[in-house]
Amino acid sequence: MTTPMHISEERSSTGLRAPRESWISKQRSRWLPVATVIVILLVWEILGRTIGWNPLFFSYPSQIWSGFLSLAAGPLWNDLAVSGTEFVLGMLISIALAIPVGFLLGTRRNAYFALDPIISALYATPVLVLAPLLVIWFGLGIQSKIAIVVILSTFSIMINLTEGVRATDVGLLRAARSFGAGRWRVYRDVIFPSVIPYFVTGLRLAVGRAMIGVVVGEYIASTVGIGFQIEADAQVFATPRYLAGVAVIVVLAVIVTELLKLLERKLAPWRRLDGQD
Amino acid sequence: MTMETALTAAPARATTPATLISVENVTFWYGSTLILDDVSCSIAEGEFVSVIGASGCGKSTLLQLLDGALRPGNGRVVIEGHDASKRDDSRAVVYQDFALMPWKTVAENVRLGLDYRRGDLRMKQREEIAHHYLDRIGLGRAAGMYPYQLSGGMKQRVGLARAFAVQPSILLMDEPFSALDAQNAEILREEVRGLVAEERRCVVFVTHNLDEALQLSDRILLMRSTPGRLAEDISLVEQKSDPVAWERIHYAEYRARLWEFLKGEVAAHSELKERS
Ligand SMILES: Nc1ncnc2c1ncn2[C@@H]1O[C@H](COP(=O)(O)OP(=O)(O)OP(=O)(O)O)[C@@H](O)[C@H]1O
Ligand SMILES: [Mg+2]
Repeated sequence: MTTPMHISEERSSTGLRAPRESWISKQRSRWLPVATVIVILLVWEILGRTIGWNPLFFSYPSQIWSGFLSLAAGPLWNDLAVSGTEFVLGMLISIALAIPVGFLLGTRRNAYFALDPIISALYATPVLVLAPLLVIWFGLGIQSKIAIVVILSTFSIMINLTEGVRATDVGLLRAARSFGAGRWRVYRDVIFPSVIPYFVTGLRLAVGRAMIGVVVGEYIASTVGIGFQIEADAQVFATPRYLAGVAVIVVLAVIVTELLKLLERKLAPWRRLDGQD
Repeated sequence: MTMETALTAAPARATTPATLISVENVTFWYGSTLILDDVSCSIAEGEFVSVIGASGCGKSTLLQLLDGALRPGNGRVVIEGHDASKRDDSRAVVYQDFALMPWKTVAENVRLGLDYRRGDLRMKQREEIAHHYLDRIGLGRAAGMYPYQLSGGMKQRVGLARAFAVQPSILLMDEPFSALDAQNAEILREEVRGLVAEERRCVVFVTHNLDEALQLSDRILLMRSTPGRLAEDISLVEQKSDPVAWERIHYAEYRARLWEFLKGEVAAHSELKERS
């Protein structure tokens, strides 16, 4: 179905954003961040080369790039495979736990009153302090990292889901029932769609925490993985390689975040112009 | 062709009694607050009944009771011979705030009731009915748009098409035009008048707008507030049967009468507030 142009034009001409400005600002929002990064890298590189700080404690982009090449020629891909497995499995388990409990808390008042304080408390606690205990329980392998990811990220998803279910517009629920929707259709046509943005928000928070979980878990006790590699390089003052490892994590974090934005746009096309991001 | 069969395949109403809605001594509380006190009335097939009353007197509550979304504390609401809380195909609601699903396109929103109620029809037939009403209400070209892309007037057109598409014997409208600007409200008022006349549906219409009520209704129910009671039941059928006299003389008379009532209600309200 094509959108009748005259109608959308009418809307935008009376709306807040004028069409021409929106094209320019779109280009701006695309290129300005890239420009900022390039400038920062350049200044950093020049400072690094001219001032000549101790290479044990300091590095600059071109050295970090060689560090990256050395990593890439060596353990990087195996490390990423292990860390990635920990991340993905941990996230999947978190989602599988968070969805039923989140919906239960959102739909049952009693469950909400009984469990919400505990879950909020756990969410606010820096549960990372439990990491050493989890290593004792689950060993040095990937199981302990998966466990750390799960305790870190489950609650972000759960809390947002609950919030989303509870925020479902009662007017829409009433309308759906009035037009004859049964229990399942109320879920499918009203509750699920209105929860999607909350779910994606929960996922975004969870992804950040899960990455911390993986890296710190490997940092504490592991024999492989990107976090282990960073720690090993830091120990021997291989600063360029160490910072290259950090850079890899930064890039991965950005990629995952962008993928999630894409996912939200796919899952919730009706918000395309609403949220803008 | 399929359109015709789909439209005429609606449940036969040959045997329906003349009285479609019967409200019998209904009392309603929100918690310990009495909202409706001993409300009784009956509404017949084909009648257009407006409900007027001060803000907060319980008009929406009454409409929700008619829809079966709320249940009375005491008394009964009977729709076409059975209890209002029994879900059937007899009623459709047009909401003040539209209540469109933001994640459904215009066409899908209009199809909503058909999808839920008319499982007997094929998707193609449901789509055809939805498009018939969309075209009828002037939104055929917006079928693929999402609600956020529509103006208020267009949204309420979708709301109207959604309600008419299920071909209810009773239409419940809760201040359907109060969120619209004066021009859009006027245009939609005309649309509704046309659609209702065409299909002879029974309408219960809640409004604050006296002219709206006078122009559209066969009957006007005046509601008193705190607690909500039916104060007057005014039939306009006889007066309207002589259109010239209605326009020249009676319209103004009735308008003055309604206005007196509302003024009194609002005054009583503010007195109550001052005393407490
Ligand atoms: N969910 C609720 N819980 C408690 N009280 C409510 C609730 N909904 C409505 N009320 C109260 O019930 C009374 C009647 O509300 P209702 O919405 O039926 O009024 P109304 O006549 O439709 O008003 P308006 O003209 O402003 O739409 C009001 O005093 C309102 O405060
Ligand atoms: Mg109301």
